[in-house]
Amino acid sequence: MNILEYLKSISRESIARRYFLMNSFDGSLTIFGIILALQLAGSGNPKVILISCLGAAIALAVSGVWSAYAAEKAERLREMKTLERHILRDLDDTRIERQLNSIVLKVTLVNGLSPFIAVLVIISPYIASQLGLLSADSAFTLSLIFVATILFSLGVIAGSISEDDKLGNGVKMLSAGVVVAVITILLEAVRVI
Amino acid sequence: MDKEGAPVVFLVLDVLKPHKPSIVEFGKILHSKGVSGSSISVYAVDEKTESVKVTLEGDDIDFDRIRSIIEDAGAVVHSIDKVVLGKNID
Repeated sequence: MNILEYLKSISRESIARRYFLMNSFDGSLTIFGIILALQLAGSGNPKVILISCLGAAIALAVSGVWSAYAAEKAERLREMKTLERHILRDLDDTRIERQLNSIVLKVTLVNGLSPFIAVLVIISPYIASQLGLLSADSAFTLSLIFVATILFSLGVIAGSISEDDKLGNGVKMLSAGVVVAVITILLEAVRVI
Repeated sequence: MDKEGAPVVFLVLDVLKPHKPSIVEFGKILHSKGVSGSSISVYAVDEKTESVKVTLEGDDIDFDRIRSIIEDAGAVVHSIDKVVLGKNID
């Protein structure tokens, strides 16, 4: 099975689609919050932003992998043990156990990698800035555009999964970014941060 | 060819299986070497399992192989309900 087929097989798992949406969304908003807060605090230095965001990205990825593995493995094992009681036999080393492990692996990968990839895209302008290809201000503007694009795209994907209003879902997701921005700016304005 | 004598050409098994794989997928898994036709019908459904009658036809059905395929799919053979060996009984 090549990588493309493997990715297609992952996208067919509803739980993996759900984790992809939830964790890309989480990762994007978290990094957006960090970038905005650092900018408002006057620490717009690309290196500081890059290190802060990379630290958060690694934490999100590790947390995603660990939590999904523990939670999914526990749930799937529970399902298998229930099935074992019904069928009155051990299901170790059967197709069922192999499928269970395959789903756990897929969900774990999606849960860990989706926020990490989203974060990498968002901070890519700062990487370019570190390499001297962009100014710090341009990197900030571009990363905001990337956050908005990712949030909107996630909404469109959600709409596409539910066969619902894609544009409306995109706007709903985007509005979460607006909420984060408004609250962070207000907090800075009233000198809470 | 069966090492002990006439080949098994027809086999009816009573199998208890989980809902997944479906009987379509289950049939495809069973359609191995020596099997030329198969029929699977569900006759009882439980919350997590279903009981099926598996009918296999072929020129030389290897029962041990079929049983291990069934067990690998998470199912279990409850009984062998009918077997035809050789070529002269239908």
